[in-house]
Amino acid sequence: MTPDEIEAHITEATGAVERSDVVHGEVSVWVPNDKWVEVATHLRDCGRCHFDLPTFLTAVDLEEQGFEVVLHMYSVRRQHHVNVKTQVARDEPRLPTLSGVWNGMNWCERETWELFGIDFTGHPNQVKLLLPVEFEGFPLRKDFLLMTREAKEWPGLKEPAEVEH
Amino acid sequence: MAVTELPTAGMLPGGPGEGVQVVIAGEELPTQEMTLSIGPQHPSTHGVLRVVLTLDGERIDTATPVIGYMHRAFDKLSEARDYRQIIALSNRHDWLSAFGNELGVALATERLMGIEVPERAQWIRMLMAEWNRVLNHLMFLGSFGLELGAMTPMFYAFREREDIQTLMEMATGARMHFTYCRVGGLKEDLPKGFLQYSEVLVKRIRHRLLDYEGLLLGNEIFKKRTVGIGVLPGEVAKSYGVTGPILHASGVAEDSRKTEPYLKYSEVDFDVPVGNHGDSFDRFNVLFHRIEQSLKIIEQVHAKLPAGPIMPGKMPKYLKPPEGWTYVRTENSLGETGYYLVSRGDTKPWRLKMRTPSFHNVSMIPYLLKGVLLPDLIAVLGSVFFVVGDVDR
Repeated sequence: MTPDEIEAHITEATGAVERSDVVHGEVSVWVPNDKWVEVATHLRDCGRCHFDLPTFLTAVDLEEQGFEVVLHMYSVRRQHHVNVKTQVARDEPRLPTLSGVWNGMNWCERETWELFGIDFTGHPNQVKLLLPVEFEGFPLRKDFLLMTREAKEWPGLKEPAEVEH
Repeated sequence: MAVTELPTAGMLPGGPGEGVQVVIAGEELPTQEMTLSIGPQHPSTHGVLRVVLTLDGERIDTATPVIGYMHRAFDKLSEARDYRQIIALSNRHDWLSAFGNELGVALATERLMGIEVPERAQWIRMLMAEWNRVLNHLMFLGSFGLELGAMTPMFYAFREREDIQTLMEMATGARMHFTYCRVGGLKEDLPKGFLQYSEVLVKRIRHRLLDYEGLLLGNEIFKKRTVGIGVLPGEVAKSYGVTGPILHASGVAEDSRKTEPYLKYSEVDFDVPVGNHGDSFDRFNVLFHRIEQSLKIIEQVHAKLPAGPIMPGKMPKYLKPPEGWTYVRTENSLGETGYYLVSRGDTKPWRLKMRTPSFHNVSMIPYLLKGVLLPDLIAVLGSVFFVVGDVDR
């Protein structure tokens, strides 16, 4: 399916799409939190979409608007992509787990949990993956500062355009 | 006798006129579960990967990979670096396919900024990406043999790798971390004599691949250790997000160079080798034949390489991609390396998520190791090609 057809199909079939867009030929659909698992399951099982390869799951810090969780999927059979996105609140970031939908989501969610602090309810093993067990804080949040840069500015030249020739 | 074919209780044929009575001791007796920690400094794990096993006798009950020993916070660092610096940074995590990594960053930035890359630069990028793939695969060809007890392939592989590294050094000035890509094109044009040496190398390596074929693919011991071991069905592989040679070995020919050609891959002729059974032998076999296909692409680049500039005539003074996001995927040596780039119009990305193949490949290891005998662990782990830096980032 072409990107526009995917967008139209998902909007029609799930009835849960809040908004969608197609940029650079890449489809994004935004769904509410409570339809997250339902939409992902539909996209996996639907014969027309047939998204069988979950490429990655991650999040983006939107500051006061909370976090945007992004799930990227690819269909090996149909050779098309989709980004399913949802926004979670900053004060209590929580989303149902997709580890029952795809095996590969287990580690992706563990990673997103430890780096962003988004709680995936129902996850079978939500423990630290990349970080040490005793690590505190969620490093990919924008309010988690990179201390070396706070203490000292980048010592090198900043932009080639700033160099006098 | 393959290790998985342990004798069952009963009579085994022995010498002339006699047999051996086999009694399996554990059948009535309760066995105690044992926990065995392998790594993080075990040679078969290619770096600092740790696998915690629970064993039922010789058989692996559960396997839990413990990762993160090499986590270097690529995602966080790239939010504090500009796009030129990220190209150098992205080189480091998968040290065996440095060019493949930096290519993705350049492609993502170019797509957001709408930069048209000159023809010649695209062809040279493809040439470099394929040489890098050969470099990477030779490493795994050699090390897999080594892990199963064959010393010679490792020495052979490093001899060939040395030649290719010399070639790459001619153009890039570096032997491992090339940093040859620039947003918009390349650092420099190819030096004089590069293409001639490249042509010589293609012939030399193609000839020497026959040695590997005889040493490993046709090797009776190697086959007994790998055929039918660690079988991964295609559907399971896909559900874990496994890509690259491991997915191909399970019979799924998903290769973004074919399905969504970037650079000039639509203008060259090559095949995607696939396996039938998805076992350790198939994974190795696919890796071997991918080298041949890469050499085939390199030869076509030699013939078709156009003249022209390697950077666009006019580049913006500051690299500031406009607000937006994109996901660019490239078929790197070990699978799909992708960059999810979110820009807010600054010289630094707002968010750069690196999707690495090794992370997903290693997440599948618990499935593959379940029920496998302990001596087969090496044959399975060695065939799940991963680089620990690529897992931990």
